[in-house]
Parts: sequence; structure tokens; C-alpha cells
Amino acid sequence: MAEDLLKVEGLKQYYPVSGGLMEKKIFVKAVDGVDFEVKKGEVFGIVGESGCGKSTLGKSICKLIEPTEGKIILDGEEIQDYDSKQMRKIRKKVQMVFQDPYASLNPRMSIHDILAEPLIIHGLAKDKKEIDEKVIRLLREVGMDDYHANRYPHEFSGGQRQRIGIARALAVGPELIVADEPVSALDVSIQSQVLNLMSKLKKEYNFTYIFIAHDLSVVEHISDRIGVMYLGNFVEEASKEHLYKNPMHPYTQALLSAVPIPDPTVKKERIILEGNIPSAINPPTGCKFHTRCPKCMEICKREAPKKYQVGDDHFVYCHLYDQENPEVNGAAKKIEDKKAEAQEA
Amino acid sequence: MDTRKNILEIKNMHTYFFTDNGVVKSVDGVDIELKEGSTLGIVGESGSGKSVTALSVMGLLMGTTGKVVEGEILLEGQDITKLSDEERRKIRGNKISMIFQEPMTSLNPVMKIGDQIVEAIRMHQDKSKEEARAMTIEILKKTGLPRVERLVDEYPFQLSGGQRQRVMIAMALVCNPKILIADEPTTALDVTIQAQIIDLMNHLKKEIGTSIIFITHDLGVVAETCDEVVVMYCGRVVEKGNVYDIFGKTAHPYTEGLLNSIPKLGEHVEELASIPGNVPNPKYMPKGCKFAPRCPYATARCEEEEPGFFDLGNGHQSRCWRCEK
Repeated sequence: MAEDLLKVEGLKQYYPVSGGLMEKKIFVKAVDGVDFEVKKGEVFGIVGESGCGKSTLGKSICKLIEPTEGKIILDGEEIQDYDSKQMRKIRKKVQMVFQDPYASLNPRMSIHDILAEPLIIHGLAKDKKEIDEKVIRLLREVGMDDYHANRYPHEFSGGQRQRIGIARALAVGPELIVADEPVSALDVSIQSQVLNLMSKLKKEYNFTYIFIAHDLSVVEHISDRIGVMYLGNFVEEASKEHLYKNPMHPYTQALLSAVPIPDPTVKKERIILEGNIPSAINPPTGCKFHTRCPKCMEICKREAPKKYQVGDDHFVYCHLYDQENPEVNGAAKKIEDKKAEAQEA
Repeated sequence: MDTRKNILEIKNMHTYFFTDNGVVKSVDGVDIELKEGSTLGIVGESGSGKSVTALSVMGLLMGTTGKVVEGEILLEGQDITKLSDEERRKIRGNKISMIFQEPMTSLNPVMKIGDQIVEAIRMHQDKSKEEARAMTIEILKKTGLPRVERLVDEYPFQLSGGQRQRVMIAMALVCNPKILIADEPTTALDVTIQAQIIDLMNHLKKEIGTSIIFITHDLGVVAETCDEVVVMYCGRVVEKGNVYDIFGKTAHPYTEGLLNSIPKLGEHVEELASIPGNVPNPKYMPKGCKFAPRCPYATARCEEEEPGFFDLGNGHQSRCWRCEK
């Protein structure tokens, strides 16, 4: 069993939305108490719809924003209270790749300067010659040509810019790369090129990735383990095989059934969720999903569910799987029975 | 064989943009037929000309440097490219309407939702304000929006993205158009909301009998909604046919590449197939087949000579030398 590279405990990230001197403070609870671990060398995927807090979670792990509460333990080191000076040496270990390849590169810097900057800041090259060599090596690593170094971001397509973004993250030789929707702005044919590049680099350098995306097929393709988020919390966490073959949480089930399948001969039954994601300012009590859940019970409105283990490396936050509560256990069993019936029929 | 008649026929349409840096041939000879009561999907990546095709049909290119320079657009047999701006306006929103990708920016932010739909009705039909308002409430209810009576007096910012897209659909359908053009209507939405909207569009199509042109880059959405599919690349149609032939008997290497590039749920592969390279710059188009530089099967002939359409039966056509018999 590989050891944990990253451990997150009770992480909360609240954004204040109003509140003057006299007013009561109101917060958007973007991330509302999240625990998870990422093992060395694995790809941990985080999926969820817009507003579920997945990007905020990525940013707080990298400490691009100060977490409100909770612990972030990287390689045995608690980094949540580090100031920007202390973070500098951590940044060598954790790098981020962003969604928008048009906005994340400085338009006034040449590609050479963009890639040289982290090398200089972290003192990773002695002189100009070594910088030049390293920049060229980085470009080749991501499948670009040497002469691209002297060009500017506007001269490149979206896919190429994303390659540059990845090269910049590689420059400092990180252990963990947090990629926030790295392919969602790209066309499908380019998207697969970038995904393949990321897999190749991972194999070569044994990186650990946190891969954040809304596209379930993409996350399934690249990840080893996946966490599904809804309104600032994880609802299910499992290896990708378990999650896709046997989704347990009603939200995961609905999410998977909503993905359109590129095969017209497959007609599948959809679970269509009613309504919209509630506001994160005033989330529902109890289980946050209960307002849209097709299997909502009384207890769901009152109490937030705990984390239940339902299989090998498979966790779900749902009252349906509470074995100790007789009322609830009955409900879970009823559902199982119905499933069995349906299968027989 | 499908015997339904064509409600819309685009014949050899060329739409060029005249920019300071030269002519950009966004759409360069496109033939598309839409059958009555069916859904046609137009698939392609950015820059393939799918949105410009839609805007050309709508007549929404004024104010840009773009122009339909050649070809015909036949709406129920009548060529609408010859009509005056005034006559085009009467068709737009009445016989053909369109919904856009960005539900956030395609509604007027300072006008109440109900008033925006009433305006669309009164533009085309001789209705009193009260009648139009009643029609508005009725169509909004059909889209499954909640508390419609109050919602008509609210502003767009008070709605979520999915709700705004429902309002757009209501506005597009209120005059019972013959054709609805939907340009990436679900791209900006979350998957669970996308499922709701696709469901709604399929339902309304049956109820109102509108023919739909569905423009998207998402092949999953195409497989679930469309009867016919047109695949575009670099301003041309490269393959067309019914949805089963396109997905089951894929003939063009570009369509094949697209289908193989998408990761599929429940299928584990080490490496995804991908199409090497990028879409060519419109200023430096390859001489022969436009896909040849990225095509794994390209031969010397492909680089020299551009193929025409080859018929594969059942209306399935592909623009590739490999389909020549």
C-alpha cells in the first residue's frame, strides 16, 4: 500500500458575501468539511457540477486561498497555516494547471520567459545556458518544438497553450499536480491529445494528480480513485471501477445516468433530477442532496449522513447505508429487493 | 427510405468573411437537407463552420463582414437568400427561430421575462397584450418552469442557467416555428440540467412538430437526440447520413477520429486515440482534402485532389477517396 502524499481533514472554505460593521456576516460555504487522502502516484479525480466547490477545493489545497478551517497535510507536513514565504518551498512540490489556457499565460511574456520564471524563482538553474537547456527540454517533454520558445501565447492554439501550462507546472519538478478542468476548454480531438500527454508524463515521472473536472467520462478515463462532490461535500468516494459499475449514492447514480452515450443503439433509462442545485449560502439542512433526492427519507431532512464504508475502498455519505438504524436499514433493503425484482423481470 | 419532404434545403452555400487580412471562407460549399419533423445534428469542432451555417440560414450576418456569396437556402421551396431584410425579419422568429449557447447573454437583462416573449409574439402575430400574455404563460408552463405566473414578471438574473435556457426555448417556440435551430443549447449547462433540457426538447418536438437543427460538438448528445447527422470540417460537410449509419458504419476518417477521441463511460483504455495536429488556419488551407494533413490514411492523391461525395446508400455520403468504389 502506497503512503499518503496528501491528507485533508475537515477542510472548510467559506467566502464572505456581505456583512458590514453591524450586519450579521453571511458566508458562501463553498467547501464545507471535506476529508480525503491522496496516495503517492495515484490520480484522484474530483467530479461535480458547477458550484459544488471542486475548484475551490483545488485552490485551497494549493493554498492559493487561505482555508477557513481544517488541516492540509502534505508529505507529513501541516501546511494550512504557512505564510507565503514558507509556502515557497512547498510550491516546488505542488503545482497547478488551470482551466482557461487563454487566461493563465501572461500575454506579454514569451514562452521561454514563462517557462524560465519558475526555474529562476526556485533557483533551479545556475546560469542562462542551463535555463535555456531546461526550457527546451520542457518544451520537448510536452510535444512542442524548440523554436516555439521565442513565440508569445497569442500565437498558439488552445491545446498548445494547455501544453505550455503543463510544461510550466513541470518546470519545478513537483510531486503533486492539481489540474483544474485542464481539458474542458478544448475540442474533443485536442482534448484526447492533452489527456494522453498527462498520462504519459505521469508514467514517466510517477506524479500524483488531483484531476478536477465536470465531465464524468474524462475523469473516469484518467483517474484511479474518484470523489463525487455536491454542494461543498463529498457524497461518494471509490475506485473508478466501483464507482462506475456500482454507484451507491443517489446523486452519483443520477449523474452517471445523465451522461449522453455516443451510441444511438443504446437506449438507457435516465434518472432525471428535479430542480436545481440549491444555494451554497443557505444549503438545505440534513443531507444537502435531500431536496432533489428520489429516495429521500425523513431522517435525511434532519441529520447529515456520516461516512459509510460499503465495499473495498468504497465510501458513501448516505443514510440508506446506515446498517445500525433499523428504520433506514429497512429502506435500503427495500431498494435492494426492488433492484433484484427488476433484474428477474 | 425516409419519404418525408425536405422543409429546408441548403444548396452549395458559401459564406465568406471579408476581413482586413483577406477573405476567410468559413463555409465553403455546403449542402444540407432537413426533413419535416426530424432532428438534424451538425457536428464539428470549433472553426468548422457549423455556427456560421446556422447564422447564414437565420440571416443574422448583417453587422459582420460575413456574406452568403453563393448558393441557395430553400425554405419550403422558396429561396430566402433573395429576400429583402424586411422579409427576412418576418421569417425570423416566426418560421425559423434559434436558441443560443449562452442563456446568460441572449436574454435582455433589463426587460422582464414575460415582456420579452410578448414582444416576440406581437412582432409576428396580431394579438392584444392580454392574449399575448396568456400565450406566454401557456408556453412557459409547457417548458416545465415552476411558478410561471410570478416568473413572467421577473428579470433574467433571478433565474438559473437551466431556467434561462427554458425561457429561450419558450420564446423560440411560441410562434410555432417550422424550424428550430439550437446552437450548442446545452454546452453551458451541467449534465443533470443538460438531461432535463434534452428531455424537454424531445418532448416539445413531438408535441409541436417542429423540425430541429441541433448544432453541437458533443457526440453523445447527437446520438441521443438526432435522426440525421452532418459532420463538418473546415467549412465543408465531410460525412452525412442517418444517426445509425454515422455511428455504426462510420466512413470518413475525421468522424472516426472524433468518435475514438472521446473517453467512453465504463470502457477502460490505456491510451485514447487522438487526431494529431490542429485544425488548419483558414488562411493556409491545404490544397487537396482539407483533412489530409491530420489523416492516418492520407495518400499522395489526397494531398493533390479534393474528393467529392461518394454515395454509400441509404442517404449515407462521405467525402473521402477511400469510399470510391
